[in-house]
Amino acid sequence: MTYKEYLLELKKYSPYDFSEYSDNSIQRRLQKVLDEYKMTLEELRERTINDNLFVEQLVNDITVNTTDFFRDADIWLEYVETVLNKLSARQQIKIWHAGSSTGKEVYSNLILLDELGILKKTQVFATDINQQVLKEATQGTYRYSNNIKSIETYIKILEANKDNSSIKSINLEKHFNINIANDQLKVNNKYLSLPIFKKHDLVQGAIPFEEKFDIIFCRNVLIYFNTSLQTRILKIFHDHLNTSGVLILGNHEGLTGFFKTRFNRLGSFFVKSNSFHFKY
Amino acid sequence: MKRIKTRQITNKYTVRGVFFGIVFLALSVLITSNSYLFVSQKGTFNDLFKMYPGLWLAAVMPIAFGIIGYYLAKGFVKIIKKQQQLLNKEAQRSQIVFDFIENLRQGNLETAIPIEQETDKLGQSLYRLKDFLIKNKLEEEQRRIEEEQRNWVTQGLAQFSEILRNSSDNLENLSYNIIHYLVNYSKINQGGVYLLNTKISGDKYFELKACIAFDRKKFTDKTILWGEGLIGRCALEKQTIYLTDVPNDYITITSGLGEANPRAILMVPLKVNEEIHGVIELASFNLFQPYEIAFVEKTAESSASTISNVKINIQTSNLLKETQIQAEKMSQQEEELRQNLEEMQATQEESERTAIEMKGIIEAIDHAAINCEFETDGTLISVNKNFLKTFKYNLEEIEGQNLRIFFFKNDLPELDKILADLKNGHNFKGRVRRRNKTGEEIYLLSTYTPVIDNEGEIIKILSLENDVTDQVKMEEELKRSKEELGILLEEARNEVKEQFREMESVKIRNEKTLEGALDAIITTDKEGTVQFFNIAAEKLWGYDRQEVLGNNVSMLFSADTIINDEFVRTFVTADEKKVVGERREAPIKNKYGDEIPVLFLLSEAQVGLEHSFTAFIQNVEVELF
Repeated sequence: MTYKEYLLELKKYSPYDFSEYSDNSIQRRLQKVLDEYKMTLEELRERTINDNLFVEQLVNDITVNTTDFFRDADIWLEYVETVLNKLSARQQIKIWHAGSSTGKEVYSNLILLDELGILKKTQVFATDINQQVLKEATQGTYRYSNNIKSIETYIKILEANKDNSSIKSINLEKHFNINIANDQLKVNNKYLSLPIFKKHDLVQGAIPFEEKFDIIFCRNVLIYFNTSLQTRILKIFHDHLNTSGVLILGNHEGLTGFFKTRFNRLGSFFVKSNSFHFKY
Repeated sequence: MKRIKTRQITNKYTVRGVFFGIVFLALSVLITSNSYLFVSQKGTFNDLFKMYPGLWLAAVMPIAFGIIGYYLAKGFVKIIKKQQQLLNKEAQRSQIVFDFIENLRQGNLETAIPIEQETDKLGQSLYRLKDFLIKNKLEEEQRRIEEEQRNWVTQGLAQFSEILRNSSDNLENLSYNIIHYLVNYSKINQGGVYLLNTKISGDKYFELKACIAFDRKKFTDKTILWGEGLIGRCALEKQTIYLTDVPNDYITITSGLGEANPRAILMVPLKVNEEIHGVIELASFNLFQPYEIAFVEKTAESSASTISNVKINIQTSNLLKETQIQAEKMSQQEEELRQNLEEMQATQEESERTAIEMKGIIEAIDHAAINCEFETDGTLISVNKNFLKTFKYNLEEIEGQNLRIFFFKNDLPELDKILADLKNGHNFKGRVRRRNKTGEEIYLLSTYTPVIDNEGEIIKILSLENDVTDQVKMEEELKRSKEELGILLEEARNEVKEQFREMESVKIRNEKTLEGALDAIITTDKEGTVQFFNIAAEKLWGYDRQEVLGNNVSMLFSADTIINDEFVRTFVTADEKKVVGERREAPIKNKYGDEIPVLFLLSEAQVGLEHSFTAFIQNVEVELF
């Protein structure tokens, strides 16, 4: 049995369709699962068909949830200056984190919104296919030793750019509850209830929200999909963005096909445009 | 008792004698009665006696025996009496001895034996026995005590081992069980277990792990530094300390009834293999016996051993837990790492896909277009083959050059403007004129796009151009041709105008000529519309020429004529073959309705498809003079 065949079986017997994921990537992940459970592909198929709970666990094992607080600090800096500042005049800002993993990106965003004083008029939504990390996200509790570095890196960058930036620094006490003895870093309770976390598989299409968004984050998610799936998802994003809404992708990600012209570049980000016009 | 007994005996023997005699008699009678002689005689009982006179003797037997018996018995009785006396004497003596032994048995070892017995053998033996027993008792007592103590110790140790075995997981429990058992078993009043605790910083101190009946004052001294106080000294010297002279307020034993000073304090180090694990402190209202001390010391050994084991176990289980946690952490980290790696790989693969796309695009560009890159000041960074071909340069000639070399002198201001615009981030698009190596003009359709990096700085300008020189040349050709054509056309038009004018003047000449004729001349076109109507015709018909020109020629004839006359009919009807070149007579109708016969001569002129007919009309009525 080949990986592709297995994925088709998975699609048939479960609500999950990984058949359009990037070949190499999904193969590596499946191989890891086989090694871990010491199964062959056939056995995996058997188990998939018969055991729903196992399928859920499988999804949790396959998906890659790498994320960090203030990941790629430069981008966040640019984000504050270019995107948030522009939107700060609006009455209401709606943000969607697609593939929010353990929520570190979401809380990073919330902290910045709070620092700019626009947290109250922001509605934040977050989705991920992995139920386990979603649960972790709702608790907002992480390992101090793992995460303090990235936060400090961002603070350093803020300090280095003090003169040009709207946010001068991040006060750890204000936004986090830190317990070094227990190696625990927890976001302040006021952030915990703000985002709406929902389990959602981007491949399935229809998103569980009615709204249109001003900002959509989808960083390092598309890299796992093949080109046609990427295009489909970009369409979803495009459809759910307000005019001049901003799409934020991962550092090495870009637009495919016709979406190259449906969005304009704004620094490192993409802004929805309504026509095929050249800017200059 | 004696009297009755003697009587009994005599009676008994007498009776026995009599009885015996009777039996003898009876037997004799029986025998004789059964003898052959008697039986053969068949006599009576009396005959029996006659026959056997011995029977008479036999009959006397009972009495004789009775008497014998009586006297025998009496004799016996005497002997017995004598014996009895002796026995009584003996019994008396025995009783004394018996009493003495009984006393001995009961432990009254000091009772004296009656003096008369002291000298005889038995008396001496008894004395020796008494001394022996006294000694034995003492020894036994001693042994018993020792045995008891030993048992106590052994049992205690056995129970203690049991306790040690059962509390081997928790130091608190262990300590408590130890001290609890010791205090209860030894029936002492107070005790405490101090365990050695080595802090990470290296300080050694004793911690009170468990205690019984300690008062609050002492309880708060839960830690004792190494070497401090008696406990410290005990541990340092690794020796038991036994205090019987307890200073007041050293500790007090508290109970519901109050507080009191202990009489003795015992401190035993918990050591195994010369390593100190702690100290046991016991306090009691009573003195400690050596065996109790030994017991505690023995327990201390096992306790120390167990404590050491428990500590090791705790350490081991902690290490295990730690290892487990580490392993979990590591596997978590491993997973994280793997995911990080996966992301990197996926990103790289994505980039590769994009790169392949890019490569294709670039190749297409390179193949199709003229491409070069230059700095914001116009210095060339790179060019492609098409560029070289178009501009007719070699790569070496171009390297490091500025764009200026491709501009005609007059066009240089344009370059400056373009560069300025590009610096401001604007694209340039348009047709440009350049010069190639040989000085020829080339025209290009160009786009210049500034390439901006992440900081917004312009790295370089990308130029994509198409050679449109040919088109331009063609355009110019076309333009020139158009101009030429224009001139030619103008000339032609002028010529035509000229000709027209000539034609016009000819026409006018002709008309004038025709005008001057005496004959009426009318000209019609194919449809029969009157084109020309001279004066003579005016005179003839009476119409003014304005009334006729442009109208159909049929107005000049009467309807009948048109119908009847062949010539007229064909003349006025369009497309009918007209009668040409022959004189024909036909009536015309003038303005006033008069019919006037005239002579027609019709001629036809055809220019292309245009037919025109000229009719020469003569009045028939020639005035003859």
